[in-house]
Amino acid sequence: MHDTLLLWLILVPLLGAFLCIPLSERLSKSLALVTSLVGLCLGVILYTQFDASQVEKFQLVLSWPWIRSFNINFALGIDGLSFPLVILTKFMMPIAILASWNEDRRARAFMICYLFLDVAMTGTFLATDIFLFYVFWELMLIPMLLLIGVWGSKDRIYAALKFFLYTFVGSILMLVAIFYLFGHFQAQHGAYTSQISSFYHMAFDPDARLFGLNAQAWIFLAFALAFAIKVPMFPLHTWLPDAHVQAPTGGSILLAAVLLKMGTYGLLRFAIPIAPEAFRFFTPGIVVLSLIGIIYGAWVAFQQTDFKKLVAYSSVNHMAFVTLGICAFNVQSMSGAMMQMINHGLSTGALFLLVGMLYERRHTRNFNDFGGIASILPFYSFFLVFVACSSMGVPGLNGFVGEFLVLIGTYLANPLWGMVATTGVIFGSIYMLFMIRRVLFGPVTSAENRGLKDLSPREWAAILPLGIFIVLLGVYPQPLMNKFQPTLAKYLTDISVPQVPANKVSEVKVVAPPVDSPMEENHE
Amino acid sequence: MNSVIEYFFYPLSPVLSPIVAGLLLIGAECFPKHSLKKLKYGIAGLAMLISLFATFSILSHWPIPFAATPLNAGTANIPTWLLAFAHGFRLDSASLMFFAAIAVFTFLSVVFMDLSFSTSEVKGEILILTMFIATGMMLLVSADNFIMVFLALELLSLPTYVLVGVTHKDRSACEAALKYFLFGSFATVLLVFGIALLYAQFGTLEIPRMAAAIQAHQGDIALSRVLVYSGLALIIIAVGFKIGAAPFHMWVPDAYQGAPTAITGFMGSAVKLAGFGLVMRLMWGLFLPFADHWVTLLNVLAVVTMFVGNLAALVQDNLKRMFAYSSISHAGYLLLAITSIPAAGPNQTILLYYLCVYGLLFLGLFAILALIEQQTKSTDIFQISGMGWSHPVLGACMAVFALSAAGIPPTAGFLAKYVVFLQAVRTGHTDIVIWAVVSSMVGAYYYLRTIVYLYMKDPREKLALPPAKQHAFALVCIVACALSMFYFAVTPVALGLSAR
Repeated sequence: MHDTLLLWLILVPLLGAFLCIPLSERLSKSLALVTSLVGLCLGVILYTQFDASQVEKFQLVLSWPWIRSFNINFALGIDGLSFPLVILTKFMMPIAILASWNEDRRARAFMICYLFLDVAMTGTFLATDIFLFYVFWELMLIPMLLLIGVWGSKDRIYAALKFFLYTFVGSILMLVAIFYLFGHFQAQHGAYTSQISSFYHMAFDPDARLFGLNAQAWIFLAFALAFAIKVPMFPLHTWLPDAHVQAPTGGSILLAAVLLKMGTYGLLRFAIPIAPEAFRFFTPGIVVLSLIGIIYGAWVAFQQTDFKKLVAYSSVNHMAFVTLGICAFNVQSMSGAMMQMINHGLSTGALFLLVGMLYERRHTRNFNDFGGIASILPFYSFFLVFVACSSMGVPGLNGFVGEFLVLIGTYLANPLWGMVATTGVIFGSIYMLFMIRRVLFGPVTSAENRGLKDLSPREWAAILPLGIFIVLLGVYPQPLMNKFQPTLAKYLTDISVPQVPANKVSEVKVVAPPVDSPMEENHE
Repeated sequence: MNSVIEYFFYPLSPVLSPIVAGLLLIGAECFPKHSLKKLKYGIAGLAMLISLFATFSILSHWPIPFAATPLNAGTANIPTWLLAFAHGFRLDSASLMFFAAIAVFTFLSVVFMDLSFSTSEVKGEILILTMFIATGMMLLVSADNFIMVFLALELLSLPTYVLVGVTHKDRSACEAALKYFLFGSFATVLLVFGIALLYAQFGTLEIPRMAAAIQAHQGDIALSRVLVYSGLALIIIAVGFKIGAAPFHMWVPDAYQGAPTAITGFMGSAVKLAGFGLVMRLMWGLFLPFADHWVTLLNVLAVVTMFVGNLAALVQDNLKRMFAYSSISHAGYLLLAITSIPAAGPNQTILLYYLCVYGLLFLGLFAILALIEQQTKSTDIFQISGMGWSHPVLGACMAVFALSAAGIPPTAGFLAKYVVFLQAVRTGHTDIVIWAVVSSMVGAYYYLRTIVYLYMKDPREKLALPPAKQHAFALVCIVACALSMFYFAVTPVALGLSAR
């Protein structure tokens, strides 16, 4: 069990999907839920097995030869970068399934799509072979395409195609970069390899230029474009609102909580370590796009009258913090970016869940149809305010930890970036508070809203774990941060992009661990 | 006498088996009773299985004496006619692999024929013609003499023209057959002219001697470049017609759309495979010393072919026509596999892997289309609306074929494209690969459209396919084709890809 744990993380949902095929629609839902819970248990086992202090290599590795002539292996492994995201995936799966429990159209196929999505997401984070990573990365497109296109709302086909084609265009450019890496490695070493880590610190020919950019810059651009579409970064984000709005609730939850993280994970795993100098070269550009993303996302979210679209644009805003944190590239900002990934998963996942609950009751998402919900659905309203607070980064809840660390790190790297980004936090609060006012408070304008029922046990089961972890990670994030910080520290020294002047880096390291700062806030 | 078996019947058994079956089937036409239909299909299918079995048997006894000394077989008791034949016939591991693929494709085609023809009055002749085509294909991929190339190509082409127009009451089929015939014979003329020019230079029609002469004359002015280059150019144009590469692709959409659907499947898989077998033999076996000259040319053809195929397919509403254009685009990717010659010398496994995967998906896809056409008399894309739900298994198979053709993991189509592109990058064609990748992006849209119709559109009227019992074996074969898309992706070694 120990040495094949990672394989089981992928196999369990796969087996579940195949077992669903002969079952009835009702039973397959239960089986999918059970499968995802088993996956969650495996995630808990993984938590106990994972040794954060071991940062040199991937852990729990397993590897089987696949295509020998190109030395391609079926290789899995885990380290501090992928560990939190795997746990997040396994944690969100049962919640997404519970969120879609009332989906009665073709429920079995729906569940099979979920389980395949689980396979693909987990595999993407676990793959240590670049070919295997690509297979999982693309595999994820198909179930998501079907989830949006079959079970979505009115413009579902348009949104599904847009989602697919955007991601496909990006990833196929990444494929060219992968080919180039393969060929280049073979030319240098005389043998093929497909191990991701063997492409780190590759020497590129600095004189091989195309349109004034060297090979490393092109490699970086190809990878970064694929991942930036997924994140999504500012000018490439247009697929996101469509996909989110049209997708069924569970699909939106997984899309926001896990799929977007694949983009930032990919940046960390591929683009930056493979092409560190190019990353340094392009950092200002990415920062500017992130800053635009933060402010633009907030402003556009503020303009929305559709509840779900607001949450979708809030994702643009929040994920831009992650890319900003990555670009600032110091201990604080990177830890913040990792935390922000998890936090965004939890809080935006929860927001989509809550939007879905209201949609199931009223079959509308327009703010004008709501108002005064707080007096009718007290528990629902409690959670909505709670999650919105987490999303805008109220101290004591998880959102604060990530944003705060990112902002500190960014400020240290470049005070101007930090200042601009901080204004984004204000805008972020504005649209969330505005949303709360329009949905929850004021007079009850629509008669249809009067008879609504508050949370059902199923909905409690879905929202409560999210709520617990939102508080837990806000008050005491240390256990989670301990899992990835050693890896991040090594990552930073390995790549050592001198963003912060040398004297500042040493200062930063001497200063009390950044993790404590949010906690002090809480104690006050 | 023993040597006749050893030098003739045994090594040629994969080729002889369809000939014998074809002759038997001609005899069987004396009994036009419907009840014999199953038997006739059985003979044809069995012949291909025997051929497959014989191929594997030869492979397991490799190297056999025939292959070891085809040219200077000094053994005393070999009749001269046999020796003469052996000079035109090259049996190596590449031809055997092509034999196996041709046998499997032809077997599947025979199984799927019934889907297109069970309601028409055409009966036995399709099987006879198919058997002779199979013979022609096998001879083509193992031809070692230009006379043999020409004969095999004609043995392959003439029955194919007839098969396209075999339902002669169907006007579009007649149009398709005529177009195919005119273009095909034009290509043959060019080929013959090309061969003649080469003969003028080398004074021999035997490919190995010609290759040796080219090798020896490298950089020598004694070689008349005009003759050789114009011969090469004419041959490239001729085979370009045969494999449907742009700009010689004009016949493909019409012929593929007009032909009976099961025949289209056969043409797109087996006949295309044989065409690429010929391209491989000529380009790698004969013209390799001139690689500098034709690689760029074929690369340009490849890029044009990919884009013509993928762009034109975007706007098609008829599935047959759409996948005909898709077939053109795949010819482009396959040409890229031809031009990517590693420093260690050409290696056919990547090309063959792509051809096999593509052939299987094309056969399966057109079998499903044949089934739909049999019921609805149309292959418009809206016919498959909601088919993924009303016919889950066939719908899923079709989705798998479309994804595989688009090259989306985890299907074998992805792996096939991946290794072709990888090989191309390795041999320095990075720029061509970028074009190929861009064209794949364009192509993704129309493959996706198939999926959209399968799963996301509501049918105008319910699609009622014939009951599963009626075509049980064909359905099993379709599912097997779909499963092979995953099997070959997981174990590419099964198609020799990892052999090293």
